[in-house]
Amino acid sequence: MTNILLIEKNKKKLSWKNLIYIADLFEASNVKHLSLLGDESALHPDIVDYVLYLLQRNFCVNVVTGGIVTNRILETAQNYLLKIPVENLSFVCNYNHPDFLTANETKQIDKFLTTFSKYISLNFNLSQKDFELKFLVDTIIKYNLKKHIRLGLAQPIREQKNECLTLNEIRGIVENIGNQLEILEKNRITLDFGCGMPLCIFSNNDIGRLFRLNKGKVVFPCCPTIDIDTPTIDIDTDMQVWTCFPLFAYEKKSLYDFDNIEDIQKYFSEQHSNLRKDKKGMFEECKTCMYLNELCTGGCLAQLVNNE
Amino acid sequence: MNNEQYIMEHILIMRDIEEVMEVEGKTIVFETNRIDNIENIRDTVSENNRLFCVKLRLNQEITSIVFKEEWQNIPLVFYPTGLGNVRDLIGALPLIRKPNIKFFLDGGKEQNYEAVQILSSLGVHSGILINENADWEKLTDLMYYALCGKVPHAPIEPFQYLYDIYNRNTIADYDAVFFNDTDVFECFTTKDTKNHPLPPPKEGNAWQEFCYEASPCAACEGWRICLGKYAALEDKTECRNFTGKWLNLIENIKFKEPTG
Repeated sequence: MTNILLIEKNKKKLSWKNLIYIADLFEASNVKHLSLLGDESALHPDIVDYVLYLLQRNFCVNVVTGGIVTNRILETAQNYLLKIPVENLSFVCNYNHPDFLTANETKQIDKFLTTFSKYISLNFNLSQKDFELKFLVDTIIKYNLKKHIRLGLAQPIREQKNECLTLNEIRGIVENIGNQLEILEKNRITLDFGCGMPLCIFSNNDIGRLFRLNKGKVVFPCCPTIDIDTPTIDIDTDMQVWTCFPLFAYEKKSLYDFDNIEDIQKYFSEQHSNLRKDKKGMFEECKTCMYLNELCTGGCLAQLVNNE
Repeated sequence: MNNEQYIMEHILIMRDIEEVMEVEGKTIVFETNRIDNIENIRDTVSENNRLFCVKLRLNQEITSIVFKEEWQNIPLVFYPTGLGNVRDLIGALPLIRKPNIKFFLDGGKEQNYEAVQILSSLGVHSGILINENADWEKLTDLMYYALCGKVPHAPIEPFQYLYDIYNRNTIADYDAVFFNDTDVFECFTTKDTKNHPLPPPKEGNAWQEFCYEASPCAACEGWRICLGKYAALEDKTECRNFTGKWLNLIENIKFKEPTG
């Protein structure tokens, strides 16, 4: 998967010229899935045009958004995107507990979820050890969203202070997840782990329940290496490329340094292998774990790099 | 309509349908700003002559044009003001992604460079009208895209035309692709010449004057493909860079020695 940043914190926006270059590079590499994201991707003035353009180029498009969309963009999106088959377009909504949203934000997100329900699945990033999944389940049912939750772990970002869990806290969250599996089972809502969730923190019982809940699909990836050997690529508005947001300050390359996507993936795969050479995974016991690289990536790479 | 035809025939540019009815056996470019009359023009011109294309100077963007199925066999070259929204273009693509339709946009407008790239990447034959108000940097980017794109895309003029006709033993003039080469197109109209002047006829090898006068253009690296088109520019640094890169690129692609 490749993430293209549409808007950055400094409000810089991805240009058409760069979007076309990216689309060409991916088409030439026979990669047909692209994900658009950014500080608030859905606020890019050309978001609807970008999505339609990429669809016209035969890409499957995913948009990651907080769901905060201006009325004007929402209206345009409503007029043009609702005709698109769900196989070709999806939205991942980074959803926070309603208690943390302003009334206006709640209103905007409500409109977005109502309008695009059939395209939307929810993502929730854990940044505190105490959390509940019920509000996500309630939201899925209320708006009739896709019956799936992606649970991510907020990770330490290099050269920045951000809210994230410590290694000990990560070990502790599993009990909380286990206690909440029932509500997911009851509503047949699948759950996957987006980011750096290690296998070993789960009990055999919980893994069994997850296996059944997800119809056999249970993986414990580190986001940059979802398929172990194929890193997820992030591209910013200046055509810099790296893998995984928490690692963006570690090493960036220019997209123009590469002839195809395979070369980018190879470059960062080697980089990851080197980074994991000594420590292997984020826990000490990863070094001798028999499941490392087979069933688990050893947790989040950003934990290894950014906690050094 | 293909590039070979440009150099094989002497073609009349006409703007008045009455005048068309007075000639026979000619190949005609019919210039108009009326989009509602295309089928009539085709029928009238084709009665006793051959229609090379209808050239439409329009005061509207591409996405505000209502394209018709009936136009699918009529060669049309649109000169609109710009592209408009991509979202509105998508619906029109099945009707305009055709070999008989081209769009030429004004290179004096910044947004038209990305518009041409968008059109081409979506399979629509398009072009940028290079004039002295060109953004030479954007033009250079567009030229590289046109000739070195990573994936197939529709031709972008004048880059494709010049690439096709370029021969390293002689000069190459891209004026014909925009109907401005009076060696190829004979202006045959009295209509509307005040608002849309026709290009003056060439006097023999007028381009040689640049050499006699020792103009800086004649010493420019890109002279053989530019022929002094931007001679009126006071500072010729940018057009010199652009045409030099253009010529080098064509040389590198067209005459590259096979490796291995």
